[in-house]
Amino acid sequence: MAVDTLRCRICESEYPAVASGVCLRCFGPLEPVYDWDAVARAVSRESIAAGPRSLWRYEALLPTAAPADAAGGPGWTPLVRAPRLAAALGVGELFLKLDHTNPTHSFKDRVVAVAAAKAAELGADTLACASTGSLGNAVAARAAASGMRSVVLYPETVEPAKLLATAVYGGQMYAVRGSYDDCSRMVVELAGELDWAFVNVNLRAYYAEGSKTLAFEIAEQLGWQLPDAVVAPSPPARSSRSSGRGSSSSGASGSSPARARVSTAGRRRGARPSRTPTRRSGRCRRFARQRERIRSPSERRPTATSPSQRRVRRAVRSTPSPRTRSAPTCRCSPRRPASSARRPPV
Amino acid sequence: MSLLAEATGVFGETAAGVTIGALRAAVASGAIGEGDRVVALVTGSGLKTPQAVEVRAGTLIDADVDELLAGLGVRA
Repeated sequence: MAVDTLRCRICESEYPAVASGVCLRCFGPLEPVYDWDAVARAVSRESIAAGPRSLWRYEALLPTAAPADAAGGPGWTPLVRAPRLAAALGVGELFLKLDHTNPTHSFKDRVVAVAAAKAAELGADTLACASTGSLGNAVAARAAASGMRSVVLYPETVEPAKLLATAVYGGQMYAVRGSYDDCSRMVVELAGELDWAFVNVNLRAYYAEGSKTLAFEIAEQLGWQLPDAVVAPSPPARSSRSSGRGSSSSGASGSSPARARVSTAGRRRGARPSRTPTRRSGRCRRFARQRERIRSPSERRPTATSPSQRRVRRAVRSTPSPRTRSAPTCRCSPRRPASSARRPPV
Repeated sequence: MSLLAEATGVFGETAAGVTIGALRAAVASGAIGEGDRVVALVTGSGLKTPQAVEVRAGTLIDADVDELLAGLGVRA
């Protein structure tokens, strides 16, 4: 169900649902605000079962309207029993959620589907991201399918197989002499310069919502029951957090009585923890610069302007000041001790 | 990755191997046991990270059934 408001998870400031991934007041992450009463009226197990055989069967629980090709979208991947592996490991009952059967062979198609739907709604003509491989695959493929341009930044050390699966879709690729963190920093800075749809930066609030469809599907495929445990790799931390949110959403809508334990399994090499204290001050400054750019459009250097770019630019510039009155304390201020860094401002 | 492939017929990327390893550790620690229903996420295809698997070469033979049968210990 399309939403019209984003809310900061930390200080609860609210913003219109445009291309904005971070709270301008406290730099916290933004999340869509659902009208749960309206969702409850619109959705039932039956309405979901009658929907497309893709993640868009949960359209009522997502922040954007489904695209025209929703039936061919990612998601609704098989959940299969693995009795031999269960016996080998000593687990009572084990299922595998086969998300490698998505269109570009990873769960990233889920998050990109939702971000790309929002990008199209905003009139963006370029879909972009920083990636260690799979996200770039998904962005390039979705852009090709929907007639958008794609731009992917990746560390030069990315595996050849993942490069092939981005290059084949014909988008623009940049091999960065640096780590994934460097690529990530670059797209955050670029988001202040360009009117592109950066799926994991200025569309992050929508992107993240795609992950929860994994939990919805597991619940539905188990007959609207949640399992005792879900084991997921991490990062992206976003996946487990949003999958957990998906589980609690299922519970909140009365579809399932229990909540899943989400065990996290470790990290892929090449990626660092998403919240490294020593990196906070740098990230904080970058966001501050982005904030300046958004607020001072006259300082922006001229860029090519298509009608769609102008629409996105207007949407970004129309972002008003926060409506709540929380203290404008930056969580990642280097002056605050690390032990209090995770505590929301009071 | 190899255990997943050999026990389920699913070729997951390295992250799936980590997931199965974590599940094994969770069983060893008692966090997950015989009474639990568990879902493990296979988030990506093993073909994305082929260098993580040691490719076992097949046995090279001539185009001769007798040689293969002899290798199997079966008389033609």
